Amino acid sequence: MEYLEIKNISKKFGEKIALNNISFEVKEGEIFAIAGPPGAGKTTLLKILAGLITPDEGSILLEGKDITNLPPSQRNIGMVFEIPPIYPDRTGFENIAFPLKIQKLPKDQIEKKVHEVAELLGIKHLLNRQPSTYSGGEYQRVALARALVRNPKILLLDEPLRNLDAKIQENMRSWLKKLQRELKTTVIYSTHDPIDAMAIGDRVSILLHGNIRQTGTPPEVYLRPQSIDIAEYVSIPALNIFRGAIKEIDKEVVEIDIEGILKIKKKLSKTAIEKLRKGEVIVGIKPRDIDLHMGPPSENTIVGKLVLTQTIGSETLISVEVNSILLRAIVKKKLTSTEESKIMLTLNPEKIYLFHPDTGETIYS
Amino acid sequence: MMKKLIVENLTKRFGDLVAVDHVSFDIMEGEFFSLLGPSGCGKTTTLRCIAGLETPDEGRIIIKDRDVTKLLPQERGISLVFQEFAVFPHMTVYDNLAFGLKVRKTPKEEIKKKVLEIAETLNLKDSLRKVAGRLGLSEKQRIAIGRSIIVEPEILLLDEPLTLVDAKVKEAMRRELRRLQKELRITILYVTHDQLEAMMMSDRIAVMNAGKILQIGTPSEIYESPKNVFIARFIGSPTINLLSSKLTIENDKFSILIKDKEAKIQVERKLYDDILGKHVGRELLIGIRPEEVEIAKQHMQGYNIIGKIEFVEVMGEKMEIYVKMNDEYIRALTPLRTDLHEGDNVYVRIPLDKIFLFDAETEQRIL
Repeated sequence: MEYLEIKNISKKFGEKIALNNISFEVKEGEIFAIAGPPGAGKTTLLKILAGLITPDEGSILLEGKDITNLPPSQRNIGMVFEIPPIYPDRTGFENIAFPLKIQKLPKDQIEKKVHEVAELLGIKHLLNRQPSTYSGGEYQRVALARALVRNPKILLLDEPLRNLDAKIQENMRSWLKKLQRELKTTVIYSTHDPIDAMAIGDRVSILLHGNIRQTGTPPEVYLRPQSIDIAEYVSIPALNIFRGAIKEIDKEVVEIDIEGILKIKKKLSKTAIEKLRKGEVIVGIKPRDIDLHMGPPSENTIVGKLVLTQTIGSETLISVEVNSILLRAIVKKKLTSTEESKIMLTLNPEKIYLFHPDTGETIYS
Repeated sequence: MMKKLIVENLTKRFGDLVAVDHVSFDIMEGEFFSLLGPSGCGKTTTLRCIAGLETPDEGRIIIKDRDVTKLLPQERGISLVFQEFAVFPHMTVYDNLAFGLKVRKTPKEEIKKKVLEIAETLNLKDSLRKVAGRLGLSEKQRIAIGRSIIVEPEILLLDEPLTLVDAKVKEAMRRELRRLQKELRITILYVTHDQLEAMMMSDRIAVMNAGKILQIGTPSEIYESPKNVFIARFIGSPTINLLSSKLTIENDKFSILIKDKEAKIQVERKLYDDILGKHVGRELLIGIRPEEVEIAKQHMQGYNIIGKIEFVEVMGEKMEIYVKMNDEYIRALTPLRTDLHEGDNVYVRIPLDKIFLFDAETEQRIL
């Protein structure tokens, strides 16, 4: 038995299928991230877990107990929204104490619990202040304190960092992870940003169009996506995608002609080769797996025109045009488009992805 | 190259608050220039002064050799795009693009010619008859930009135009916007809180905080030579490590002692003589970017800081490792490794040639 089991949850709004037969399990004490583009169904899923929306089908089991039909107040699940409903006319203390007052806890206990959680979250200085004086990050911390003060079995966080400055997002995320490691609270975290999900999650589920498409540890999902749409979704900067023609099939080796710009030989398993019988394949290459070619060109060198350079810290994201096809690569060297218009690239054939041209299923990763 | 915009000593106060404090910078023709800083640093107020939406208390604004400080917004030769793209949702793409020219009573044939030209460049030709409100974000952005540049402004002002866009789309739009700007040679003043966005698109960046410009430079200059602690911390992701330390001399050997870590970095005589000598005994901050921090599972030469992995964050093919040493953290960014786990004891190396040194009191960089 897992700590939390979600079994075959479906939800329709009118004709629109918001969630389609969703099943997954969350382990006690882990951060489980749900990543998906806007409109994928993340918020609906979290609201179903919180009890704010009733699913059409399926069940939710917490520690083996079916909670599908319990009202929110009896689930002991805390939730923090993208824009949390903090009462603007109440102090930090009153906001955090609110759920405990509803539980009719004695005053001295409320006092104690609020101070404990405020200490833990480093927001004691906000207890006597009104929310209008808070920064974006402080606002979210107070909301989080309010969710944590009841000591929930599960904490649901719905895009909690979305409205913060980029730098504050980054700092808040590691702060949250550190806090979770201390508290060991089970957390379900939703985000539209795949990097955000992989950074915070012990495990990640990819939710696309109301379907859970893949669940795994961040490296599993990132390095071994099960299909092209998952690979495209998790790759930032965007994955290079090309059409490939399978030129010759040996027993174990194929030659893939990538859009006429490069031919690579690749050893593949029997089952993989079986799937390539049609002679076509989609090739995916991460920008980081294409590098500058040094020295004289060989048959594996791609020669192109540098059209754009973008600085990412000590690295550069370059866009290179080869026979009217655009390639993106992340390179260590500093380049400017004016100084070098002709550029040579090389790629690591071990690192490419192959996808089935009809189904999009991953054939090789 | 010609200067398109000169901002001189711009100051704007709201009551007691100095929102913009003697800000000066120039933008060259065809340059993509960003004002970068946290919320409330004065970047948007600066932009609004340039646009003519705020009246500055002091200073001058010169656009293409013309002092526009006292001119109305429409007399300045600027176009402005806000966070919410200014697109008329019920109009067709054609009418959206033509709007500015119609207002200026441009002859019909000329409008048509210009709209077709700009639609071609912006890859909107097939959408001209479509209703703008039904299109995707990327198309709306192109329409908003097309509308702004069709009237041939001297300078295009963009105020956080990508803030509301989700992460995936954002990455593509940054590339597209930069490509367009270069192709059309538009002069852009761009305002953002997102350092990565500024780095990826700009020719030069001005970093702002508390109403002041702290440093102006190319993205690489600012990343590689931050002038002070604030800039070092603000630029770069993951955030730079800052470790409190002291410069010591022992047996004629100079070393930087990382406080409470009993870790030393040996310093060469020359470096000591040239720069560090005058900072002996002072509180220093060592700045080291997480990508430069090296981690080993066994003790090796030079790996003289011992810590424990508190947690890791996977960022695609890289991972950020949080190593706890006493009550401080040091972050390392490495390619994905499967041999490092939470709770592991590790050895950390800080390569001397990659460090920045800051005076802890003034927060200015000394090395």
